[in-house]
Amino acid sequence: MKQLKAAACLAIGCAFTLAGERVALADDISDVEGLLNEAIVSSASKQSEAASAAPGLSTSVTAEDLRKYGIRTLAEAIDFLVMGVSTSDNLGAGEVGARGVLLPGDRGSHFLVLLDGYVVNDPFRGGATFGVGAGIPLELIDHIEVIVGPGSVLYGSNAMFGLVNVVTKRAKDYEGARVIVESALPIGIRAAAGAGTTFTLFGLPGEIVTQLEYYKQDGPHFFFEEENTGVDQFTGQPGRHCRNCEQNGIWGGAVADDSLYAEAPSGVMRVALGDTELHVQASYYRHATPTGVGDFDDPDAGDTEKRVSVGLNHRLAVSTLLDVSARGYLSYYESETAFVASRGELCPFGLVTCNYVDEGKAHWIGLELQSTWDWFRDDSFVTIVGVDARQRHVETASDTLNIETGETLYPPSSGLDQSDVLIAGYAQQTWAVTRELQLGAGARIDSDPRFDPVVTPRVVGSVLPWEGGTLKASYSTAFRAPSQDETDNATARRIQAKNLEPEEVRSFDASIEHRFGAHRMLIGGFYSEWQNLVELAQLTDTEAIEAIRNGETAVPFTPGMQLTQYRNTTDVTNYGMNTGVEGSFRGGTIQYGFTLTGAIAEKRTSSGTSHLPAAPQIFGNARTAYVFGDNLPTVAFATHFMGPRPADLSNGQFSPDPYAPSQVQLRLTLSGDVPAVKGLSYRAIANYAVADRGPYVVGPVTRAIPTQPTAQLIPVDRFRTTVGLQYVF
Amino acid sequence: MCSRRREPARFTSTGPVRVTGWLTLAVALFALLFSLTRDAHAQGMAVPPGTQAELLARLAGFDRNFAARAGGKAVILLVAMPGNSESMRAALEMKAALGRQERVGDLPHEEQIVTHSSAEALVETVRAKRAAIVYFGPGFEKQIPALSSAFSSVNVLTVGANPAYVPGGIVLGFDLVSGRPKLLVHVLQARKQHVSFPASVLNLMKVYP
Repeated sequence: MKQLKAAACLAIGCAFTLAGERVALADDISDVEGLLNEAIVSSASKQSEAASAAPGLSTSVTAEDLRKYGIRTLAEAIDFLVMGVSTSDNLGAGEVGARGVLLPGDRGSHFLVLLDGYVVNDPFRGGATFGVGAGIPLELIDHIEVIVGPGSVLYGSNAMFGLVNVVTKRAKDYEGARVIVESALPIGIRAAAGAGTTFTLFGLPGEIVTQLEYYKQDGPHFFFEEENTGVDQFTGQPGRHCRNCEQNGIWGGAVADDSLYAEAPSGVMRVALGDTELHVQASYYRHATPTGVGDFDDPDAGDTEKRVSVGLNHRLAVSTLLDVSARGYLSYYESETAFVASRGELCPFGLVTCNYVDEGKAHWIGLELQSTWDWFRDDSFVTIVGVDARQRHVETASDTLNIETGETLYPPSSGLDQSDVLIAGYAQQTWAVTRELQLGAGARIDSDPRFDPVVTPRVVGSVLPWEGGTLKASYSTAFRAPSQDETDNATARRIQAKNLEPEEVRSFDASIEHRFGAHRMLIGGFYSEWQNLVELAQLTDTEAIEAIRNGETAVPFTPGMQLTQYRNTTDVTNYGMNTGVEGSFRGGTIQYGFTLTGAIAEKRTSSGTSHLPAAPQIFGNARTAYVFGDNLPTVAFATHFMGPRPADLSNGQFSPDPYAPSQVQLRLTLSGDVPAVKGLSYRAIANYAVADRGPYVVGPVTRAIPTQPTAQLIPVDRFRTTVGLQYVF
Repeated sequence: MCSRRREPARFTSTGPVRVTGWLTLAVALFALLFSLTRDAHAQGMAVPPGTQAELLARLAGFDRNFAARAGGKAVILLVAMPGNSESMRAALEMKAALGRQERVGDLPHEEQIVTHSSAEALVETVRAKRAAIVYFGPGFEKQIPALSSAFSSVNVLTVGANPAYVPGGIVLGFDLVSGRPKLLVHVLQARKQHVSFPASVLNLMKVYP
């Protein structure tokens, strides 16, 4: 009897255990969670695919990430959430680099930035802005795809670091109307309004989403140390560094109240009807920073940019074999740069203040046709063939004016007024050989009348060696065609370039990724060779005299006059590693991520080998968030860190070379719905920077002189809080 | 890569004339393409077929009635709209993607493509083939109400590639939000069709109605 009871108890116990085990197995949803956390990207291969299968290193930043981690700009999204890319704050439009390479002064032209697949880089200099002037309303962003690694194979010029594709929301995720107000206390304010809706027209489903935004910033008002420029080589007297001030050789020594500001209204609208989509973007960006070599704190110094772009695309499924799409686009851009200088070496016209005004206008209009051939109708063997043709027109003008009277101080250069046609063709073949092995190859040829055609190939392979694992390897190339402003233009202080060639990069990449449940881990290495990088080189006195004799500039010679010219001066060898891990626990209640990049970059010029200025050799980010749910806020903590960085003028101009210290930025964000007020949500952000200096030399002293032997580095905004409200009707 | 500097071209400013030419060409091309698609419109699949197949293979196993419904082998019907290239291609791609899955709902499986004629005929086909899953690709926007009604008492898991299908009565659907796949479920329709997911899985989904 006892044995029977014991057996029954054992049987019952086993039954419960097995039932519990079945329940445990049945509730093991981590595989499903992992699949739902896997990003789907469309930029790397121009077709939708899992990020783990896409060529290159892909990061996808979601709209929820942007809100939760207190992200306010593309630059912050990159710094706090993306692997392998970092930005550098020059208090202006900002600069961006990747994998240990950053090219100061490039205006973001080594990244290709897309908005819903349309090129955002301007048609004048190929530049892109990653800060407040990007012209992309934040709440309209669905996600941001960042593909690190040369990407010209499908997109052409500028994709040397990689590409950033900002994808806007569909109407189903942006339904209704909303207003947003957010303030970076007390120096900046952003106000926005947006709407989205679906409709049916001619029997076809349609939708419209739009958001307008206005941003204004005044400050921070930094104190700049005095810099003593000593005796001006033109006047023989101490230099003058502001209008109507004494010739005492002193720049700075005061708070800059008037010359650090930004104003940026912008708007984006997308209308879709069936398979046709219209896209419109417009932005204005006026900004200034008090850190240049000109006058101190002059309110008239600064840059203004205006931009309008329109795009129309249509996709047609011709058969089960063939898709075709057509995309027409038009982009118009205007810029004006005002540089104000009173010092005799920069303004050799007596006791006046010069206003150097450089203007540029450019537009392009183009058409891209693409066909996609799914040969076996099962996504295993797909060919993409496309052509892209655009007409480009550029005009420039520059003037040197007496800032008080408006009088022209010497004859302006003739400027540019020219058009050309750029034609490109590309092809890509992907082949899923087996479930475990995928191969891909492609190439693009770009024709520009200024150079011989440029061919940029790419070869990739990926293997699934074990469940959840992916090994990838690739060889990819990219180029940047110098802008017409660089190759053909001259201004008062810059002579025309000679024989400028496109910049090129070749890169070998390999990575291992493993997905386990809701977590993902990656480690990868890269080796890149950069050639023919264009720099704005300063002419020696001998070269300046020769240029004046040849009539290349109308500026009279003054010792130390700082004439410049664009030249292919630099090659870079760059290699390193990326690593990262991300995931979530408890069904997404706790989220985390960590990235780390270590890289070595050596710059080679005619004068030898040196480091790359302003580029971090070790950098990364980390983040964690706790989603309490119900009416409680989401608490998110993010950090971005960079190792010490050599300043932009750190190749012997000063001794010792100035370095910016390691930087750690800490950001705490609370976000959520306001209880009892339906539709109203908030976020509050606090940001703290540990280091107070960045890697840019400020002021007129650009090399050690007896009166000023040391460099002054750019100040950093150490602490800032931002609060915002959003109301959805 | 190779590129050598050429002699500067002789630029002529013909901006306005060339802009007009480009615009005319673009407008004509778009008009032609638009006219070809008015009767054949179907939204493409936002979530790649490979991801849909992986998710479906795992989710089927969480349906408490799936094993009993399927018997020893899961038959999956992939329905295509006749005359719609997008719809047929989606069915072919899902067939290939599911074919790469070892098991669906922890069962061996077989995929068959069927062409849609009417909701009632499809229900008959489902019963005749003892299908465990019926998948609808793009092109069924107008048919969803009839399909939802016809399947109301049928023991089958219906799945849609278009997120708009689920509010209309398809049990399970896929969406792409912020570049991530999302799951949608119509719980009332699921109950009618004897589909039962545990709470842990429902917590991962957007629930309708």
